[in-house]
Amino acid sequence: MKKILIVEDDQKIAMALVIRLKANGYNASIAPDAIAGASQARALKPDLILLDISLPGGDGFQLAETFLRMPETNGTPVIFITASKNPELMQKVMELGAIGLFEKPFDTEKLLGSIDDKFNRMADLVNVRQSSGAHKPLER
Amino acid sequence: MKGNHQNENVTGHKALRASEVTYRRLFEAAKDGILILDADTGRINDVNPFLFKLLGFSRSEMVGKTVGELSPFKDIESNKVMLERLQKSGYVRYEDLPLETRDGRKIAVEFVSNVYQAGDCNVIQCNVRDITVRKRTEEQLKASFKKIADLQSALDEHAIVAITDPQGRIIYVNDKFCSISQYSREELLGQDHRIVNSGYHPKEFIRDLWATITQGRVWHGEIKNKAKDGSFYWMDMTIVPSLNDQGKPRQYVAIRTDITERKRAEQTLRASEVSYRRLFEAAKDGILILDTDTGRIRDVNPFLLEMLGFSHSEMVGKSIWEISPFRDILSNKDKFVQLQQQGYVRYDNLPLETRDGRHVSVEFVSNVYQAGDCNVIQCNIRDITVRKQAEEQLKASFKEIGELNTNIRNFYHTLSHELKTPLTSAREFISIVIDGLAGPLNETQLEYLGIAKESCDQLRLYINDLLDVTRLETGKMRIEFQTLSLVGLVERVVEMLAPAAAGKGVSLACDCQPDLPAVPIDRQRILQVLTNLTTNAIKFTPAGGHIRLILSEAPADPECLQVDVRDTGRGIPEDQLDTIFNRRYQANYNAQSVDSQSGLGLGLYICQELVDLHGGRIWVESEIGKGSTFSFVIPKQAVTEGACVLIVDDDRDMREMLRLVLEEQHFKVATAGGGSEALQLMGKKAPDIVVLDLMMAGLDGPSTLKEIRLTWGLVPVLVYTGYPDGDLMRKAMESSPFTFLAKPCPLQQFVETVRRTCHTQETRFLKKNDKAGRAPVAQSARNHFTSDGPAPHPVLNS
Repeated sequence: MKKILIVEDDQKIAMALVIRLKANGYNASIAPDAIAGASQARALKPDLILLDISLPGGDGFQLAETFLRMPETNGTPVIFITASKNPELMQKVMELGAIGLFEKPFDTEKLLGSIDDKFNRMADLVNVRQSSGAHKPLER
Repeated sequence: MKGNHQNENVTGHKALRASEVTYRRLFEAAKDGILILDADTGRINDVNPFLFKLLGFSRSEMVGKTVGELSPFKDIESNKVMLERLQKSGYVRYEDLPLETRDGRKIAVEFVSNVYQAGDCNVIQCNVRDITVRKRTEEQLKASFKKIADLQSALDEHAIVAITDPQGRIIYVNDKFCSISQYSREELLGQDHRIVNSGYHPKEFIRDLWATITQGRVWHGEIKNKAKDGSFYWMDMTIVPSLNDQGKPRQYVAIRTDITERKRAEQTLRASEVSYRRLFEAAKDGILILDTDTGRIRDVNPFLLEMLGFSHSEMVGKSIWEISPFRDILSNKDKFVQLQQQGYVRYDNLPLETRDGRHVSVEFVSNVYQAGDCNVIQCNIRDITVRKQAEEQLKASFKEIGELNTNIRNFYHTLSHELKTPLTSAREFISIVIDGLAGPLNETQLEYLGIAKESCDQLRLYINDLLDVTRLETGKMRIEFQTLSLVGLVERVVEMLAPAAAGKGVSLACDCQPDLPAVPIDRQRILQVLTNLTTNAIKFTPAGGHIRLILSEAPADPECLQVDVRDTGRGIPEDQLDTIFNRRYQANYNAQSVDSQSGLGLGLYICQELVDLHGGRIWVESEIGKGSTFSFVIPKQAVTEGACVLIVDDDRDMREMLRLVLEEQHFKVATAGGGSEALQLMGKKAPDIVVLDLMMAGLDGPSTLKEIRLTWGLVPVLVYTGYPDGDLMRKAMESSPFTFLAKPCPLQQFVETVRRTCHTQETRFLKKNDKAGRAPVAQSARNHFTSDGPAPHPVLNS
């Protein structure tokens, strides 16, 4: 079962996401701030992180940079969620190598779709790699 | 017989004696001189006391002498001649015979001689009357008459004289009176003075005059009279009543001098004095008049008193440095000396403290000038507190704008976060329940939750609209240009909204002209416009209707691409077409919509602004019952992004403010403090648009504009002036076209006008055959420097 870490300070949104993700067969956990996000990510080694940009104790971008630096999370796909609507955010999101940016209120189906998509493709890649005997993990 | 004879003789002798005695008494006592001469010899027989005393002789000195031997008579006609004449005619008379007495006094006598028989011999009796006193009186009288005559002629030469009888009738006028009144003497005599009455003086004045002179007193005053031709003249007049024996006026002599000229000069002076005084009293600036030598205050106007909180008497007569607000200023002796020497001192911003401790800022200008025969210092003191406050407010506004920008940014964040976060969880839990993750639902529950979820989506749209409007109004809307194909976007929208259209039974299709170039657009924003227009079309088109999105090269402007969103809906009433793009538009058009998705009425406004930010234009054509077509054009080449603006204004603050505002909007800004500097800068690098102030020192706006037109052709110019209807504006018109904006205006409007001017101005004039001037827009302004002749009128954009 794929593990997904939700770093989101709004408990209600986090809870809704947990319900959704569990319903879709994922193991989801919540970190309510940046610090918890970092420690849980290190402990859980999640397969994917949903990351709110606006967070208490350091914004989502800083946390994403931390994830890149931590061996436990380097390479873990990140999807940003934000209530803000600023074109500059997209630029930043790309620079950080995230696989998506969803604006609140987000379209749940699309969000779940892109998560499923990601894992399916990763699975495909793994299959391809296994069949081709490649060792080196591909970069996104 | 002898005896009788003797008796007769005695009787005769007695009678003779009596007569002799009487005569003798008369002779001795007479108050005239009497001289008795022997008619034959001319020797003096006798002389009476009056005469010998008069002449200074004794009797014995005279008797027995001839007249000629006596000194008083020696100069007169020789005795001989006189004697002969006397002997012949028996009578000689001298009316006025000058004699000199023995002691040298001159006397005048009347001398009458008669010959008559005294006894048996003839004697001459001379009566000598002293007429000295009489003569002197006569001479004095004569001299007086002459004097009076001289005076009268002098008076007549000098003055205007009239004499009036007690009834007020004119009985004498001199020539001057006639000439000044233009009446002939005949016309005047017998008339009363009403003939020259000007009607100027009040009745009381005339009554007072008469009251004075009828009481026998002299009246003096100035009086205005009217001449025959109706013109007026002023007289200085003295009326002297002549009194009769009863002390009643017998006649009035009026002596006048013409003072018309003086009066006129006085009136002029008074008029100027009055108007100066009025200015002084009513001035909205403080005015202080000082004595140049002493620095004492001669006068101070009410405005300054009010400003400083002093009374007139508290200030007048004091030295300026005794007045507390000025204590620190002119007390500086150097300053006062400078003022005395140079005649001019100016403080642009002088802080004064009023009596009640208020602080005012004033502009203080002193000049020395001549007032009558002495110099005074006039200080004009203008309260610039309000102006300074305004300046400070402006500065504060700049700061505030800066702060506001930050605040607005924070506000976005808050609004986004605070509104969207709860909305997100609401929507999420609703959809979780709908999806059955919280257990099974019945049909009604599903339907109701569906409505709730839809409302969440609507709310999200409104929040986004609100955010967009806020961004637009604060200039925070960023357009991220990418060169993209519009075809892809149009197809995307059709694809996206097809389900919604189908759900309503409306057909939705697009029709794109092939081979259109990619254009610089913000994908997200154009998508937003297309979605908005198409959603509206779906909303207002009944089932069975058709919606088509048509993309083509703009028919009216090959430099633009045009998108039409054409529906077969109910159409828009004509009276709403003008306002439909307005921000606060909330017409029935929306409210009556079937599905009641009325929105905030912001959608079309946002569309208009977004298209505008692309340098394009949006409009609508509609026919009730047949449908509407919303169209917009997007220029093939972007213009304003990074456009270079040259701001020409001699007010540094204004320049810097405009620079700030434009740079905020990503313009490249250069500034020039005057016309010459502007032309110099343009010589190095031609801007895309010139923002030009008209009233500038040195080379003024119109002249600068003329030079610009000569060298740079039709570079877009925005005339930004505080005097839009002055001569400078008219002069500037000669170098049209230009866009014009009245100073001051909201900054947002300024930016928008710059932006529009940048890409619409010349094309508007170049494409004179534009259909209704509607299809506008744009090429790079830079391409137009070589454009041909200017259009006849400037674009008015106030």
